[in-house]
Amino acid sequence: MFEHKRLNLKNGTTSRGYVMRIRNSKRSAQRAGGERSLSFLTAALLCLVGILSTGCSAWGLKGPQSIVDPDGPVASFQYWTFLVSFYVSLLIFVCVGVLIIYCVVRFRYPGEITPDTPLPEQSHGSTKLEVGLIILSIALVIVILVPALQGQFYQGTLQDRTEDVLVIKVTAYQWWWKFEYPKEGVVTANECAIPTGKAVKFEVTTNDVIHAFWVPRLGGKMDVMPNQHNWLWLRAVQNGEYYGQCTEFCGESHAFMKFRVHAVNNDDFKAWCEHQKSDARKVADPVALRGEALFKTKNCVGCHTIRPNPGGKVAPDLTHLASRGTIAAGVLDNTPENLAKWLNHPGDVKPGNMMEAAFLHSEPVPEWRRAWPGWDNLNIALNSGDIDALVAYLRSLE
Amino acid sequence: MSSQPKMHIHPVPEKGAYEGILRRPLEQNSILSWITTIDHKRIGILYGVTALIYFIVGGCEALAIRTQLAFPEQRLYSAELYNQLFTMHGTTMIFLVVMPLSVAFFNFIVPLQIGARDVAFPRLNAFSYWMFLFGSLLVNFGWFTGEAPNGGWFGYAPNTLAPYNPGLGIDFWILGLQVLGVSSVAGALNFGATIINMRAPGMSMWRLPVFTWMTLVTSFLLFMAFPSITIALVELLFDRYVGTNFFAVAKGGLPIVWQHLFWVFGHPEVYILILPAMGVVSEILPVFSRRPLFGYPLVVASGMAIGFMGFTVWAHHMFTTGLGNVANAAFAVTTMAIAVPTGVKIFNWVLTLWGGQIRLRPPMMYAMGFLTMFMIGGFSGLMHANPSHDAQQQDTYFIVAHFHYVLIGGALMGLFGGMSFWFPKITGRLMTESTTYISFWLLFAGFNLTFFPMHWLGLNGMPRRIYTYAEGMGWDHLNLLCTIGAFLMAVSVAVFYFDMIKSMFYGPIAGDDPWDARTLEWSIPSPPPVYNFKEVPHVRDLDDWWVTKHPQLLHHDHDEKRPDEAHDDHHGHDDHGIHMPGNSWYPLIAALGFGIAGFSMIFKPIVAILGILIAICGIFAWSLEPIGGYYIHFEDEH
Repeated sequence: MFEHKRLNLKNGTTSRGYVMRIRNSKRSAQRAGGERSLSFLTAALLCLVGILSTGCSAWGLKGPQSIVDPDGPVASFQYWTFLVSFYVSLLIFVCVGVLIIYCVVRFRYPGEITPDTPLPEQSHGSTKLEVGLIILSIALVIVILVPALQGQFYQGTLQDRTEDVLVIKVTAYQWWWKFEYPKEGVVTANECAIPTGKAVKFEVTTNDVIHAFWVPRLGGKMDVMPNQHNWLWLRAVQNGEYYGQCTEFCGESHAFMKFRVHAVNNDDFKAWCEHQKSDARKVADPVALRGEALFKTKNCVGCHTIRPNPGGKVAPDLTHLASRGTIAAGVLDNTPENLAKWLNHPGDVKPGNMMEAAFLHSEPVPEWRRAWPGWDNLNIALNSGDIDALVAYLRSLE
Repeated sequence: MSSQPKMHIHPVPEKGAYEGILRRPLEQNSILSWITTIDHKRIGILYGVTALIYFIVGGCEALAIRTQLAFPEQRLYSAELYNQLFTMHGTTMIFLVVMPLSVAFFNFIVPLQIGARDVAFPRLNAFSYWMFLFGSLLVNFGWFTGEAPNGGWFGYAPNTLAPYNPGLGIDFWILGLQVLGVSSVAGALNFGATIINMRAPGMSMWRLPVFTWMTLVTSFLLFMAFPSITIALVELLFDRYVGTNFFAVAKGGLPIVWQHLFWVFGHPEVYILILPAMGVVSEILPVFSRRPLFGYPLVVASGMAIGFMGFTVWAHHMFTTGLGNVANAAFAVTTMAIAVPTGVKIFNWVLTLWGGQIRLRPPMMYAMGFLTMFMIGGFSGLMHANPSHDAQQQDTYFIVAHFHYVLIGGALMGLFGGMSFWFPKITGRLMTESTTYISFWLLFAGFNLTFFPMHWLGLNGMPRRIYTYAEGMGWDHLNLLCTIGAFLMAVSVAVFYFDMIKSMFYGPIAGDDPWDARTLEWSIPSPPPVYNFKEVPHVRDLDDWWVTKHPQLLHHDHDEKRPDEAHDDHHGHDDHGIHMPGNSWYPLIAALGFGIAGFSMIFKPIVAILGILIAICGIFAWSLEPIGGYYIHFEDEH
């Protein structure tokens, strides 16, 4: 479903500059119904970010996870506080660096020094100078500190205080993400959608170890702590596909725990929710039908759910797998070849994942993995015909 | 002064007296004499050599990491091995390289700088070294069983708990760090006691060289910070071994508590790594500028302030754990406050250069490298003291760049400076100056090539601790640059090592005071004799040796006795000469007991009882050991 939009958005994104984005942010802020409009101060600050960062395009860092290419108010504000500390630091570094170079050039002793060489002045210090430098240091630290503290409290000002709060419950697993929309009744994995211009509350929890939820171009990260309720507010100012990644070391396949956030128009968002809520498409193609049968007999359903059939909840919900751009938590593009690759040997894509252990039994299976549901009934050795059938079935799940 | 005075030696006790269960060995040159040594200089050398060997180990781990990351989508080896490599790279570099290298200088230099014959507790000092050695073997033992620790040097629970990490790796890590912790705390108490109690007459606290001051501050940090990680490690061990639920999530444990306990230790630990290097630089800059350190009292006070404030900032490592706005804001304030004393130090170092006679000899090059590179690390630190933007930087390569600028550009530059500065004192020979310049510039270039691009990688959103990365994220070329830089650094270190080994045997004879230096260690022969000072010096001023060389600088308003007047009461040795204690087996035996206990906790916990018994017996026999040793008489006196 996102395929064509993604392409359009990619084109759109690259052609626009920073200042445009900031203007958009103001417009969408006014549009978002019932939401507190940004204060004049914040708007002014965001404009400043626009100006500074256009001057700062020397960064040249336009990667999909760039933090100096912000696209939402949270990320922009954070970026602005960074620029303040960066410029102050640069100023001091240049001053002290020039002083050091001057000292070395000016006071370098040209000849050989022997113990008899007359001594230079043996000054032990200067109280006035010291006090002056301390006061100057404190002043410069305060210059950095003020925006830093403002930034810390800024995210809270995004909070949507209307009845109509959009909450997305994020659950982190080793090594994928579950997204649930309690109000909308949507359950999906690794790719989620948010309406552009609306502040969204992400409530993050974990099923196992500590992870961190991070969408760099929308805002800073929040750790996903066990037995602790963490959340963050984010807002996208324009439609687009935003990359996310787990940033807290979470075990063997920490590197392969990514996700995508799609910011779409409000109407598209509603349509997306309706679609995600619906049951899977009925399958007609005979190969796919065989795949559907295999999905049950090979006990994929022990972990995965494809509605309306019952299934396990410990692995991604696959009801609308084909509507996603990626598989294996943002690691591979969602193509038939990659699906086959994944089914063939999931451990090549994501070492240590549960499916690998269940599939191959090639290595001793740790006790804790035996504890998960349906372990005893696992019978999922696949031949290439099985894989083709499963791929056909999974590709049909738009 | 430079030639060793003629002396003869009388052993004690007299024949037939009680000698203890194991006689205290008197050997001076055999392997045995090194194993049983309690001489601070030899222990310093043991620490130094061990640290330099582990530096090769940690460096190879770094090269393996950089090779894997040179190109996108590379899978040279498994993700599991990668995780072990970065865990052990961090653990090794922190606990087995920078800390013991600093301790090597504490051992060798501090007693010489304060005019002492040895540390306060020489046998405890030897015990610290053996505990360090056994602890380091324990941490690294996983490489031999194929299960090296893989939870990161920070070992966050619950990823390090049995359900997620059932192997032995984490057990090696926990027990190894516990043993290393005993070593550190024993060493810290020893140096605290030494610096407070063993100073030569006239060496008031405000005449202590800055390196000794920083050693004192570091010692306080060590024994105040280590209890916190000790508790954390015991809790983690219990969770893993006996199923307690300090951090076990399913039973309601709170993993955030691990983070608090770890970083209450972890942040002071960072200053434990950097303060000794700051001390070294504070020694080098005045020597090679021929000027006193600018604002000595303020530099010392800043060091103390940094040490004290180091305990108030731990939660800035946890800005993204959801502590809340107020807590984050408070820790942002305390963290940024540290910039002030650190800035004071930088200004004072730079102002020391002003108006001096600067010689860019190798130690000075490293000191200048320290000044500039440490500043960059400090500034990037200031940038993530900002909790708002830290939410973006946390766990990205920006942080990796930051702490390598502090730990290599800071701590290691300082310690390499210290090595080239004190090498002639330790070995009696000079390093080859031209080779050291080559090594310095290779290090400087390689270091910046490796770590400066990491700032960009971090700003472009590359997370830390990822085994491999996708193409098209904008990370490709910069990572290749980093890898090339890492190999340049390896070449630089190889050149430095080669020259050190060569100079140890073939270098030109250094003489007592090759750098025209300022502090007491340069007033005695190189290498220093076993008794250090023939006569305990009488200290009249800050930089006493400098004042001795330039008597016109002496502050005559001091009312203390002149050395010639003090001759009778501060002779340093009375009629029967200088007493040197005998060597001792017991530090090694006690440490071996703890080492056995540590190893058996992993393989067969019941054997640990045997290890503890050995340790207890060793400590008892140690405390009952007679004094032994010998007296040194100088010919020109009797």
